[in-house]
Order: sequence, then C-alpha cells, then structure tokens
Amino acid sequence: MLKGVGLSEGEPHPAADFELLYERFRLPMYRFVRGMVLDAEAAEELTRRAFDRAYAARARFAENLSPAAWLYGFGVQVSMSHLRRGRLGRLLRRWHPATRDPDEEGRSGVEVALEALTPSLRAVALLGLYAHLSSEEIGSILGISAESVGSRLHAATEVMTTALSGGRQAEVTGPR
Amino acid sequence: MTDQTTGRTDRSILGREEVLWAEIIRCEVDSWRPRRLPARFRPGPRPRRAPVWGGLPLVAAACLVLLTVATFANVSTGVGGVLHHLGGIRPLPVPGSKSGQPPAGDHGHRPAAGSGGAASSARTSKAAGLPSPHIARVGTASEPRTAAPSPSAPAPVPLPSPPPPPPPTMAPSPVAVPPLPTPISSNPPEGLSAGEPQTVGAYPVPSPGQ
Repeated sequence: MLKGVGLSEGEPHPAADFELLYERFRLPMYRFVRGMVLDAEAAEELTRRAFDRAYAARARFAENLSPAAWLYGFGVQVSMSHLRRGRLGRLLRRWHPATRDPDEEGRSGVEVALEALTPSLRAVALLGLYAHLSSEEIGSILGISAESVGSRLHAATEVMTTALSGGRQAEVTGPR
Repeated sequence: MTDQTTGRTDRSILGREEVLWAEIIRCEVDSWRPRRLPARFRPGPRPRRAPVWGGLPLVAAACLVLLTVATFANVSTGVGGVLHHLGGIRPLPVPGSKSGQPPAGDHGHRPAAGSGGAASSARTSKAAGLPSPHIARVGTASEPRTAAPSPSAPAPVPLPSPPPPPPPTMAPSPVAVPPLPTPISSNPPEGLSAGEPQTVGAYPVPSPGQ
C-alpha cells in the first residue's frame, strides 16, 4: 500500500485502495453531507456524487492531506453546490408555511442547531466536531487559515447554543 | 479521545463547549443511515461512455469541415478536384490569355441575362455541339486548371469556315444568321455527329418541319 505524508498506518490510499476507502468512509461521508444539506434523500445522491468525483481525481491525491480530509473536501464541494442551488427554494418554504417541508416539524435539536449556521460555519462545525479534522486540514479544504478555523468553530458553537436555547421562543414569535 | 473515523486524535482546537457539542453531534449524526447508498463502490458508467458518445459529433464536425475545405479550396487533384470538375463549375480559360492568369471574369464573354441564356455556360455549348476551343477545355480534368492552351497543339475541331462564329453575346439576327436549312442539314461539319442538333453559333437551327 502506498504511503504518503498524510497517510497514517492502516489508511487506504485513494489511488490504490479506493474501494476500501469507500467502505470505510461511506457512512461518515453520508452523515457529513446530510448534516450539511439537512436532507436525507439529497444526501445519498450527493454522497454518491462526491465519491464519483473523488474516484475521478484519485490519481491527483495530494499526499499532504489525509485520505479523510481529501474525501471530505469533495463532500464540502457537492454540499455547497447543492445549498447554493436550493437557496431560493428554502427561502420560499420558510416564508410560506403551506409549502414547508413536513420533515422540518420533526427535526432534532442537532438539526435545528445546524440549520441555524451558515453553510461555511456548518462545514467548519461538522469537519471539526464530527470528522475531527485538524485546523490545518479544515483550512486547506475551505481555503482559510488555521487560525480562522479556531475562531469560526467557536462562533459556530455559540450560534448553535443560541439556536437551541432560543428555539422555543422562535416558535412563539414565528419566522423572522 | 480517539477519533473512530480517521483514527487520529485532534482535540487541541476544541474547548470545553466544543467538546460537548462534538459529543452531541456524534450521538445524533451516527444514527443517520442511508437507505439506498450501495455498500460497494461502483464507478459511474457515465464518465466511461462520455468519450465514446461525445466523440461522435466531434468526428462528424471534423469530417464536415474537411469536406467543406476540400470543396471550396483551389485544388485540382484528389477527390475534391474530381468532384470540382465533374460539377462543371470549373472556370474556363479564355483563349489567348496568358498562362497562370485567371479569366477576366467568368461572365465577361457571356451574354447578358435574358439575351440568349442557352449559350451562357460551357455545358450548353457542349450540348449544342459547337466546335469551339472552349469545348476542348471542358472535361479535361487531368490538366492543370491554369494551363493556357498550347499554341503548338492542333485544334481538336477546326472550324469549317474562316469567319469565326458570332460571339454568344450577339443577339440572334436574321441578317447574320440567315435561315438556310439545306447546306447545314445535309453535311454536318467534322466532329459533329448526324444525330446531334444542328446549330449555328450557339443557337439551334430549326429543322424545316418546325
């Protein structure tokens, strides 16, 4: 098995063991993408798309990253694209209760907290708090410095805490 | 704490509140399971088929461009040249013109529109059986287009009479072309078969019965 700077012991190399990489990261990638888009069905298609992109780019694997960080980069790409395309639809659903997604009513506290974040803060939160990537890896994926990652992670947790504590108050006052 | 996803420990950037949130998120998110995501990775078939189907329009466009270039280019050999000559759109060299010079204009020696259009092209001249240097040039696809007629080469069909036929630009006149049916119809000139229509100049001579 090929080993690079970002490869730890036992980690599959994308170019040599992509199927093993898929088996290992299939569920984490799906959960990360679902946390980003907050849509179960779309997350499956986007996860498939992210792995397709990674497979096509497996020969250009940058070995200064870990395979996990490299893969999550594709997850961030497809999720951000999906969120940009669906921004108008979500706004309409938010302001017109008749067209609101019925799943929104049964959302958990984590989903409500994640929804309160902007997509970029959501990516920082999920990459740091769920995928447990390092600040350097997160900064490399998102194109920001490692110092910015720490401050954005702190900001994200504050927003999520506020969203959870103020959720009941928001239900009383309605959408802002 | 050891990360189960990447096998690495990286909690240096997390404070106390972040660690708490990490546990909350992990407990919630780990319960999400896909319904139709395949367990084994299969590369999508679309990227493999794309070069095959995507290349066909490219090849067709390239063939079209090549055919267009071969048709309109000034080539005298090859398929393009043969098609060019078979199409009858080869410009006729003007007798007496210098070698290599194009004719003064394809329409320079042709009648104006509406004044005897039957003689306005080399095809109609050949069909009318007119013994003319123009006819000798038409259909010799193997010769270079810009070659001037050789002065030493004998004329393929000499004219029976010294005065040349009236140029096709002249309007038919009863004085210039008297309707004399007998001498022309009895003895066709050399190079003219008996079955071909009789003409004077570029104009068919009506038979006596007409």
